[in-house]
Amino acid sequence: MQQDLIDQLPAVRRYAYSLTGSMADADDLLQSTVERVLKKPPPDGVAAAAWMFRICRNVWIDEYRARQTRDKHSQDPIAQAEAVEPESALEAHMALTEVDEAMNKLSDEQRELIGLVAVEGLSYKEIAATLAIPIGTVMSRIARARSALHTYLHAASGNAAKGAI
Amino acid sequence: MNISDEHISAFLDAELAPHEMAAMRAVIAQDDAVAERVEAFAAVDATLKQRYSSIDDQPLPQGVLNMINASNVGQQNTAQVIELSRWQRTKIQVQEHFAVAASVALMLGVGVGYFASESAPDADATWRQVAQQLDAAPSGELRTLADGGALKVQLSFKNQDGVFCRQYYQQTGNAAQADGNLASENVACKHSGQWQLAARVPTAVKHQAAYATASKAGAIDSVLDSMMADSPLSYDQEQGAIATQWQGD
Repeated sequence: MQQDLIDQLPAVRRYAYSLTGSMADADDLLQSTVERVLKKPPPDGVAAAAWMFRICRNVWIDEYRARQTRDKHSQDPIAQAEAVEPESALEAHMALTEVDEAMNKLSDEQRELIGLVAVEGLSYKEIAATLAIPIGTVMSRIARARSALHTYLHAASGNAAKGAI
Repeated sequence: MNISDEHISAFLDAELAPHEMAAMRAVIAQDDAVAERVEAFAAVDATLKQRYSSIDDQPLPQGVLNMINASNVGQQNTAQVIELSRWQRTKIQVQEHFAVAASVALMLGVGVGYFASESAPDADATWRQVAQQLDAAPSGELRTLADGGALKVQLSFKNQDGVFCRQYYQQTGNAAQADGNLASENVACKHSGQWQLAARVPTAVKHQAAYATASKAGAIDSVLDSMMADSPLSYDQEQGAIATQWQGD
């Protein structure tokens, strides 16, 4: 059982990253997920991976979404100044921020799905079981999430191109 | 051609039926607009994958690994089984009005050797009889043991490791059972040609009427739920297993 959990950590961590958009928050979320999984191990017949994804998503909904909402309202100039990256990393930073911004615009329902399918390659059936929603809903939400992300990313790269000229 | 985003998205995830997958490939070959949309969606996935896989380059947080290694998560599962069993016992008392022994002794994964070392001198002899019955008796038949006790196999199944197991009710003729109880619900599994006790829940001696009740007894339900890989064996499957001496996968 312990090995099962450890084997799933990288996948759950990537998922946590797709949910939070920050590596530090992803590791916090990973830790909270593991704490909760240890208290409440997967029931019989439920795969460790599916259980961990589900718990991860629940913790994110419970804790991190609430915190993110608070953070959006706080305008802390010191924290913002500290967030400036070294110039060498600037280009990468720009591109990464676009992805984050696009992901932040998704609804929670879209965001909790897209990482599972696009990054982890889970089947719709597995996602439906993990998140306890119908397969038809999985299918339509993923399509809307991809369409929205394409629009946001396309708009961002369009703006960047204009800025370069 | 008008192809929905949902269809394109499901195509990318290989979630369409085979003939729909083939039809989509044909459309992509002919229709630039559809081909562009497929590419656009695929590009979104590639961007996300690159972005979120980058965390793999950072070592896993040691604190999380320590937390798992220090945990006794496997044992917690066992504790849950015991808790469930107690609850189940309460339910049985309410529903069936027969007293259940005061303690539940669950020895998941403990072989017969353990019992033999602590048991009455003739327990080994009793176990041999039990093993003989487990080899040959079909589920549902009450068999009498040489010590005056009785045994009835309730059901047979394969566990998660592909090993055959049987759940049975046993009552002793002379209190020779290892823990001194007169009757028990048990699960035994046949490892390498030897029947080994996997779980035992002491229970009250059943009256004749109770022998006829459902094949799955309440107190041992949670143990079965945690062990069974699939449905119990059918009559024919069980006959097959008896004929091949319960050789598992």
